[in-house]
Amino acid sequence: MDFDYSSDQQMLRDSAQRYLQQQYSYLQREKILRDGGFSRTAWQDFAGFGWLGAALPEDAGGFGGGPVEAGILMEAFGRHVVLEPFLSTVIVGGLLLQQGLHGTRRSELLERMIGGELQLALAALENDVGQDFARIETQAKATAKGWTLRGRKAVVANGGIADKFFVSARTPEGLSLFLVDRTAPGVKVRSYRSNDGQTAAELTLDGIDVAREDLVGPAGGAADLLTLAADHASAAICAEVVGASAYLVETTCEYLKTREQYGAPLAKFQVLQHKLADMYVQVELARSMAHVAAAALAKPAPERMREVSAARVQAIKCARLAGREAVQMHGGMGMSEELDVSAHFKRLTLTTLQFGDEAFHLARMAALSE
Amino acid sequence: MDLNFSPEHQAFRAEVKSFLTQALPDDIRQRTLRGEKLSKDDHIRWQRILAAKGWLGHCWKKEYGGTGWGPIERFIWDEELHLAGAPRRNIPAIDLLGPLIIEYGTEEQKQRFLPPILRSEHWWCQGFSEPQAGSDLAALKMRAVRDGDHYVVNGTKLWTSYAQESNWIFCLVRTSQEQKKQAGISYLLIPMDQPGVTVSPIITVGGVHAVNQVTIEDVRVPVENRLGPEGEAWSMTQFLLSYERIVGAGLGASTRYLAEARAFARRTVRDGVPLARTPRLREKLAALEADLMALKYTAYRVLADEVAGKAEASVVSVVKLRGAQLQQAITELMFEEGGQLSWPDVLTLPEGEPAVPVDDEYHAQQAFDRRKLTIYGGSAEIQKNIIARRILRI
Repeated sequence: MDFDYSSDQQMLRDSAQRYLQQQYSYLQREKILRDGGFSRTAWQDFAGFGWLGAALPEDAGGFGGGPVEAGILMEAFGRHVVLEPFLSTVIVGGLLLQQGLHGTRRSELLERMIGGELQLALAALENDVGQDFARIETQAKATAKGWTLRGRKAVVANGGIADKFFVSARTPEGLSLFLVDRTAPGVKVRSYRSNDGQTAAELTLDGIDVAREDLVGPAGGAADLLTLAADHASAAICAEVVGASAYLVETTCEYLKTREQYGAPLAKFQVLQHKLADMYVQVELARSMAHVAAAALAKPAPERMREVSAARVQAIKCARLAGREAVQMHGGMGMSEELDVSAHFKRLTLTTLQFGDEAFHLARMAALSE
Repeated sequence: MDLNFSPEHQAFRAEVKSFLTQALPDDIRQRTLRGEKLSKDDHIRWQRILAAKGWLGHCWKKEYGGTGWGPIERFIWDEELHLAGAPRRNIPAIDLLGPLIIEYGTEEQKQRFLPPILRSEHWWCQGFSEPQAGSDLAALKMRAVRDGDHYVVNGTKLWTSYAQESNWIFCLVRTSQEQKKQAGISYLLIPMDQPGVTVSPIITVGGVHAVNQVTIEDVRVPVENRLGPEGEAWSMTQFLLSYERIVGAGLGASTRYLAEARAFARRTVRDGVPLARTPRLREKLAALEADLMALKYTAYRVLADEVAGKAEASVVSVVKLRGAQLQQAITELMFEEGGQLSWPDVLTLPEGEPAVPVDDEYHAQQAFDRRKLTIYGGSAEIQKNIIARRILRI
C-alpha cells in the first residue's frame, strides 16, 4: 500500500502550486472574472507546461499520466478557484475525444486540445433536473451525409467559449452523441455565466447538419460513454473539492488568529476551534476518497460507479460544510466578494450539483450495493 | 392554556390579509416573490400606500402618526407582510430609529424627524458595526469630539445596509473614552448628503449590493442631533436589539419560502417524476414543515410572554437562531433540488426568452445571500452564547 506520489507526480504538483501562487492570485483571478471568466494567456501557459495532456495516455497524444495526474492538477485548481475549464475541456472533453472518435479525426482534435487550441463543452442534460442522460428530447435524424439535429440544451457549462459541443440526441438506435461546431449553420449560442464565474450557455440546434465522422462513439451507445465521462468528471471534482476545502481550513485558521473580538483572537474560542476541527475531519476523509475515486476509474463499471459515488458523497459533505463554515467564521467578511472565501464557497456549493448531486450518488450506490 | 390567537386578533389578521391582497401592487409583489431587486422608487411607492392607510408606523404610538398596535398586532403584521410578498420598508427608520426617538427623543426631535419618515422623505440607515466591532459591538471606535455646540465625527461604519439609498444615518459614536467600553457611547443623527460622508459599496456573495462601508471624516454634527443623553446609547441599543431579534424569527418569511418550495416541487421534474411525488423530497418538505411548526409555536410563546411582561432574553435567542437556520435550510433545499436550474448567475442571463424558468432564476443567489442570516443582527454563535450565559448561567 502506498499513497505517495511518484517523483514525477510531485514535480507536477510543485510546478502547478508554484505557477498558480505566482500567476493566479485572487486579484489576478478577479481581473479574469471581469474580463469574461477565461484567460487565454493562462490557458496557453497550462498547455505550455504540458498540463492539458498530463492525464492522457501516450496513444492519445498525452504524456502518459492518468486520473492521479488529473487529481493533482484539479486539487491545485481548487485551491485557487481557477476559472479556466480544465474539467469541461480536458477531463470530460478529452475523455470523449479519446474514447469516442477514431483515426485522424481523433488524433487531430486531441492534438489541438492538448495544445490549448480547442475548447470543449458537454451539452447533455435538458429540462429534467436529474442526472439521467436518457431523459432528453433533442432528436438526430440520419441523412445521406450524416445526421440532422434539432433541440435545445439550456445549461451548458463552458458554453461561453467552447469551440465544439458534445451534444446528446435521440436516434433510432438509442441515445447518441455528436460533435457540433459552434459556428455550424443553425447553431444558436446564448452565453451567460454560471454562479462560480465560469462561462455557460444555452444551445439551440435548429436542424443542423452533422457529418458522419462527428458521431462520438457508436450510434445508440452514448449512455455508457457519458456515464464514464461523468465518473471521470466526478473523480476530478473530488480532488478539486479537497483543494478548495483544505485552503478554507488554512485561511480560516489564519483569520481567526488575527481577528480580535471581546479582547481576544477569535481563535481562542473553543467553539470555533471545534468547527475548524470538524472541517479538517471532512477534508481528510474527502482526500482519502479522492484517491479512491481516481483509482476506481480503471475498474469495471459497477465497481467504478459505486466507488466514485461513495467519493462524491464524501466530497459533497465536505464541500457543504467547509464552504458554509468558512463563510460563517469570517462573519461579514466571508460574505464579501472582496475576500477569496466567497469564491471558494460559491464554487464548492456548485460542485455539489455537478455530475450528480448527493441524492443521485446515494441512489446509485444503493442500487449497486443490493 | 389556549394556543390560538383571540377572535379579535384573528379578525385583525383577516383585515390585514385583505388589505394586503388589495393594496400591494402586483408588479411589486411578483418581483419580490421572485427575488428581484426593487428600485428605491418601488419601495417609496409601497411605503406611501402604507402611510395613506396609517400603517407605516406599525410600532409607533398613535400620537406620532403610528398605529398604536400592541406586540401581537405587530407580530401578525410582520408575518402577513412576508406572506403577501411585500417588499422591505425602511426598517432602520421604522422599526429602530422611530421607537428610539419616541422613547428617548426630545419633543423637538420628534416633530423634526418622525413626520419625514412617514412621508418617505428621510430614508435612514443604521451605523452600528465597524471594521473592528462586529459581534463585539461595544468595541466601536467612531469618535465624536465636542467642539462648542457641535460634535466633530471621524470613523468608519461597515456592513451598513442600504446606505446607498439613504439620506440620513444614525450612528453609534464614542463621545468619551471610558474604562468600560460600553460606556461613553452616544447616538448621533447625521445627514449623509454633505462633504465628509462617503459611501463605498460592498458586493456580497451572489453579486448583491445591499451593504456598504460609510466613512465619516471631520463632519460637524450639531449637538441637537444627539439622541438621548450623552454616553447612554448602550442601554438604549439593548432595548433595540432585543426588538430586532424577535422580528428575526422570520416566521412569515419561512412560511412563504416553504410554500415556494412546494410550488417548485410541483413544477419541477426529476428523472421523469415531479419532485413533489418523490418520497425523498416529500420527507424533506415534511421535516421542514415540522421545524417550522416548532419555531412558530416557540415564537408564539415568546410573544405571549412578552404580552404578559415576562419575556426571557434566552428564548428570544432560540427563535432568532432557529428562524435563521430554517430560512437557510428551505432556500438550500430549492438550490440543491434545482440541479442545473441553480447553475446560471441570474445577473448575467441573456435578455429575451428565459434560459431557465423565471421562477427558478434566483435559487442560487438566495442560497448564497441567506448565509448572512446567521451572521448579522447577532450571529448564531452570539445567540448560543446568550443562551448559555444568560439563561443557563454557565
